[in-house]
Amino acid sequence: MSTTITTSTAYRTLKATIDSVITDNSDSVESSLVCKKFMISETMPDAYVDDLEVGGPGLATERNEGQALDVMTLYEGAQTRYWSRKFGLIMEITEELDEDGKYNDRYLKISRRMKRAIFKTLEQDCANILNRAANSAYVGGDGVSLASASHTIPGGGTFSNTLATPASPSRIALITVVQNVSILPGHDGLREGYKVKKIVHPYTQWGVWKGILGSEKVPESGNNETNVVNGMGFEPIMVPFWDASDTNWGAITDADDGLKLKWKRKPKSRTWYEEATEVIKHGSSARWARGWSNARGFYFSNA
Amino acid sequence: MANRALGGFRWVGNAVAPSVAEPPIVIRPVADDFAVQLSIGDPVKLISTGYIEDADPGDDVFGIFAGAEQYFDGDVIRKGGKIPADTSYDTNFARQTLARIIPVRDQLFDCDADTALTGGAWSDWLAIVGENVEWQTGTAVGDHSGVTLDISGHATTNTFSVRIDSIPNRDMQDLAAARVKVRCKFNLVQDVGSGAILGT
Repeated sequence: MSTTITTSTAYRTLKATIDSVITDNSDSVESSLVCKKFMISETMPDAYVDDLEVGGPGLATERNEGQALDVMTLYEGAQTRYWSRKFGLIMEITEELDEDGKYNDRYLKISRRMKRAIFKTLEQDCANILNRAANSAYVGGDGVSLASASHTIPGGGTFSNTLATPASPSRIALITVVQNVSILPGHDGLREGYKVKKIVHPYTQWGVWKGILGSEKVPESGNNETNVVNGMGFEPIMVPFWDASDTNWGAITDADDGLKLKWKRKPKSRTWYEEATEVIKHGSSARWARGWSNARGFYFSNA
Repeated sequence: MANRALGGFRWVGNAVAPSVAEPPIVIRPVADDFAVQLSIGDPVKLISTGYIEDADPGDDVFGIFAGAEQYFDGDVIRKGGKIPADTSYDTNFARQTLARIIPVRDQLFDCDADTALTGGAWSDWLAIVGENVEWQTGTAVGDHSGVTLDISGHATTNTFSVRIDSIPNRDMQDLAAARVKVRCKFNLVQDVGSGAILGT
């Protein structure tokens, strides 16, 4: 919010002299959200919800004839809490501007601008998970950042979801990530065979990934070798608000409960009128939580 | 993420009445041929002649300029976002330059920090909440002020104009970069109602 929009601040619109009002596009802002492509979208019924990791029992034991079977157990892992956070804004205009503005449908179009603001905020908020993937000030339920070599396994042990030697986008780097993802331990510590589904990256890498994923042959071997990552169905996703780095990238895997967006309330708008000052007020807000419950849903290259 | 550069003091709320979602507005005259442009977001002071002038860093501040209620552009009376320098109305008071002002007393404003804060971590920002800081002039963009906070000079010095109230929207700002939005209140308030001395 800032100050009220008045006939002073919008004085250029008081007469019909303008051909075009140049402004941001607010069409299809919800349907074109990029975060929906790399986040699992859910709803949350309460002010907060918890996801609890549990693993076990692990491998069965070999026993001799007549021996009692071993008793195994379960191990609880990290508990991840999602608190709903509210984002919102108010915009207000004087009744005089409402009456006199000749381009209010294009200049003000407040409801569409506020909707755009809310959904762009959501994009930024979700992208911040990637911006801060290796930032130890932003941790998940297991107490480490999204991309870490110290994620915990219930009952003991750790796993890494980040390349030990960060690598710029390349076919070889992606092959390494596919291998590493496939041998990630599940919640019981056993290899699960997860699969890479999507590649997430900043805008600056679009061309590199187009070449890596789309080439039929391998350029570095004189086009004599089959490009094994072509045709595996990896979907590249350019994340517009991933701007903390031009060189980081990551993979979204098929592990359940990876990056999550939980809606407490979709954007809600309302309009009201202040009688004393004759100011029309428009408010919009939404509540959501985002984070991750299972770091196996993401694999990172901190290049 | 890059922090967007916005200039001037932007009203965000009332410090003592949280449900007031509208800034107080007063209309004050500007002297004939006043030599300085007033832009939206500029701090202004009230002088002993009854006119509004641009404030300098360190001055007691009366309010924040929020638009031109009217001024004479040489041909006609008009409204506008800014009031240009040297706006002339001679003694024709029907053409008098009138400014829309948000009095700063008890109001909260956001203002950009000019540079990155040393350290730049959340804890570094928390450490300066409650401290004071001086604002500084800058180049206006369009109708809007170029004023920023001289964040490197933050201190407990009680002669600085602005007190840091909080850092809004923490999670959506790059706290290590320039242009972090700082929520602030004015320390040095020129408030006729409380008997404070007028600026000169």
